[in-house]
Amino acid sequence: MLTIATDIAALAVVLLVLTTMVWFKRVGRVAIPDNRFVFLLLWWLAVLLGAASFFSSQANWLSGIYGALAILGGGTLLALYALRKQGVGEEAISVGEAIPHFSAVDEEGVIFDSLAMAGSPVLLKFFRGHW
Amino acid sequence: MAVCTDTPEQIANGRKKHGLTGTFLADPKLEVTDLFGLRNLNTALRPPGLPGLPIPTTLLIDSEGIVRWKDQSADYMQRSNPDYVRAALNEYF
Repeated sequence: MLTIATDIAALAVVLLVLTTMVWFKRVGRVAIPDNRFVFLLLWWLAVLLGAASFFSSQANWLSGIYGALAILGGGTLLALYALRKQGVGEEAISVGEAIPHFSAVDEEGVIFDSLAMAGSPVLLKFFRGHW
Repeated sequence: MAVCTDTPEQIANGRKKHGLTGTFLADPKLEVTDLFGLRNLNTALRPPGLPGLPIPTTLLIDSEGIVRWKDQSADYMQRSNPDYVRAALNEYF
């Protein structure tokens, strides 16, 4: 049962999990390095090791599960990385421009009107939800 | 102040979960986001149930309603670094 294929597949999963844990820890600290070569290299390595074990002549059900996990997990992360670029429209607000008038509800359903911001400086953030 | 795609209920849960303060506004239909032109036009990562996603952006707006500083990454994995934002706050306000 514990063949070289299983060892390689387990190594691929460990690589994937550890690299991804460090990545998301840095995401949480807003500290992703500008040079992400090492992360990409380790994710690719996890995928390649997973594939090697998956298609090995010594493959078994355990190496198959580990290998598939490494391929799918690493592949998903690499795909998300490849799609990371934002599509910024030409009408995006710029420095020096006045903000548009807007209104929206807060978590209690109370309507907030942007006119209430007049006279005070404001830090305004736009971000994704917790989906 | 923050504008996000969460519903009021999700904002209430997120505030409790993360201990957040400040004003949070619900914009699940991206109406406010579109007024600012901050919808991400790269639709490859559109989550199910939402019309799209905003580009994570931080704006410093003066008391006249003019944008004085803007931080917007070209990469959705990057967020405004708190130290970077604090430095901008000290410089502009």
